[in-house]
Amino acid sequence: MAEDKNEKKWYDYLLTIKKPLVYLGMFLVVIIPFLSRCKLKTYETDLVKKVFTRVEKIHEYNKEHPDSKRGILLGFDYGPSTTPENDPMLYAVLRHAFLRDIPVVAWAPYVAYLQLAEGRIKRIAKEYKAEYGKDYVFMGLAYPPTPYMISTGTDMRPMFNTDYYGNDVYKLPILDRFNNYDAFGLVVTISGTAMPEVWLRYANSLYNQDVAVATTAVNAAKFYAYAASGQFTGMIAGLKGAAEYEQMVTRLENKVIDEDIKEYLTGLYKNVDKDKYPEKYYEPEYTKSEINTAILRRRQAGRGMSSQFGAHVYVIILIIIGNVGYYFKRRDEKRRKTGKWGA
Amino acid sequence: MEAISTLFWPTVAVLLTLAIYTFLWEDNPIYKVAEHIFTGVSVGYMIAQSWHNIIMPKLIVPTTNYFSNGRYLLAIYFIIGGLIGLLYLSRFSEKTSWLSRYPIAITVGFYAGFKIVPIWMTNVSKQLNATIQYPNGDSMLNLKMFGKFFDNPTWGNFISAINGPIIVIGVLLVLIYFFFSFSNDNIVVRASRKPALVVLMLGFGGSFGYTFMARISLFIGRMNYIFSDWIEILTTTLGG
Repeated sequence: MAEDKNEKKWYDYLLTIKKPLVYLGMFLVVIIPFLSRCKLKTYETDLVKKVFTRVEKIHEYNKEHPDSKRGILLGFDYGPSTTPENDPMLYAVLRHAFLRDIPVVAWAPYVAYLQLAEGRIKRIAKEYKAEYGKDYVFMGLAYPPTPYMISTGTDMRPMFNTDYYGNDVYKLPILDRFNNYDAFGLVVTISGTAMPEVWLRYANSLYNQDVAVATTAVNAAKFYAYAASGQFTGMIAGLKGAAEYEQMVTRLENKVIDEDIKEYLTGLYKNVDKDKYPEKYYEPEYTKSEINTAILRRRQAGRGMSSQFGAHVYVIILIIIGNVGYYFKRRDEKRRKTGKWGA
Repeated sequence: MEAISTLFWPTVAVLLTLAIYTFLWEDNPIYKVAEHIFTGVSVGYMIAQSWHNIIMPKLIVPTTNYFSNGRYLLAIYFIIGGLIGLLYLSRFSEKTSWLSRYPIAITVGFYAGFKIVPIWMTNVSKQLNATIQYPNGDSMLNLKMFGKFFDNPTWGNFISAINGPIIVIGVLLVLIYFFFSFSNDNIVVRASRKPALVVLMLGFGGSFGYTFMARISLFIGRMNYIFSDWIEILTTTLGG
């Protein structure tokens, strides 16, 4: 009996799975580990460890040289489109810096990043009682970024005149010392763009400044060449890199703070002189909801990794299913053509 | 009332996120509405932000300050800069569009001149150097690494030994592939094509894997917003 060519074979079903069903599957494999608050311990790679170690070295240096401390210059080089990847990196790096009392000077190169940067930096500063103008400063817009990077070779202040909040840059104590590359132990560019290359060109190549990059996974492949050549001091790549750094910082935080984080945040602004913390920068008190969010933020990337794991396994399964279907379909077509069908 | 204002905008964000995801089913009016709101809001936001963060603090305020302080030369310097910048707008008319070439020429000329040395150092000389030696100064084709592997045959030593040769040979293969992409019967060129393609595919595969991770991260980010941030706001607000 002749084979009915229109009859659907089992592999045809594999090759014609409806797109909405594929998306529904993806939704489930992402959301289930996320909602179940799965914890996935991730292994720590050398490139991420290098960033962490470099920051620790700054801390060691500052302990030995309290009068000539070194800080971190932070390039807030990402916008809303890459916040899910870059936010955990920013939080982890800032937590590390504030935990180790390393002064932070930050700026953003494009207007779309400004409000995002301001909100996030103050959120983390608040968790460690960092004082604005003394422990950290947000310079605001550094556009176009190239002249700002070059002027930091001598003094960044004339390029800004005022910081983001309109304060005179010559009246902020932190900027008396931290105004050029000599005072910074590290530039950290947290980026969803090609900005790390610009940092390399000017801060690293012209001024020999150490630059570490925290970048989205899409850009990571491009920046590996610079990390391998030693031009980048280290690299935090994608959500995986963020999870690694987050894990290292959490370990350090548990050691340094040595207290349940909920209790630590609840009691942080009790019995402190609130005049030191003007509301213009952040409100020196915590609501219950803020504390819950701050705790969740501490494992944001780690939580995401379990969903990443689910999504990767799911896609591997889909690729196998597609290839199995394709293989058998081709084999049958070949047999039909050569007349060996059913032989 | 405060509760409504706290909850209202995050809820709008959640609804717009879901509206965008309806595209996964098929193109539809709900998706179109969200898409148009996004485009309009983005442009409006950028214009307002540019006015408040660039034009006002970097041009108008310093100019007026310099005038009021009697530093007229500096003020004129800013005005000239502003006027040259305004020439970009001449492109709106065909008759005057040639004027826009002046600010373009100044910008391109400045950056072309300024970037030559840093780009050479960053993208050429240091990268070239990194194809020959490791950051610590060891040669990429260091045979001692193989000796170390044979003395102590661990996986880590094996990777360290073959890493340098793979990079050097991979770079050479890909360069030959692209330089001799036209028809060529040279035996070296012919023999290198397949291995070069393997190297290229490994590179593209790595990029694809990372790109996939990035896209999933964005999805996780939105889910995090809905199921962590928004739910937290919702329960706190409604719970009083």
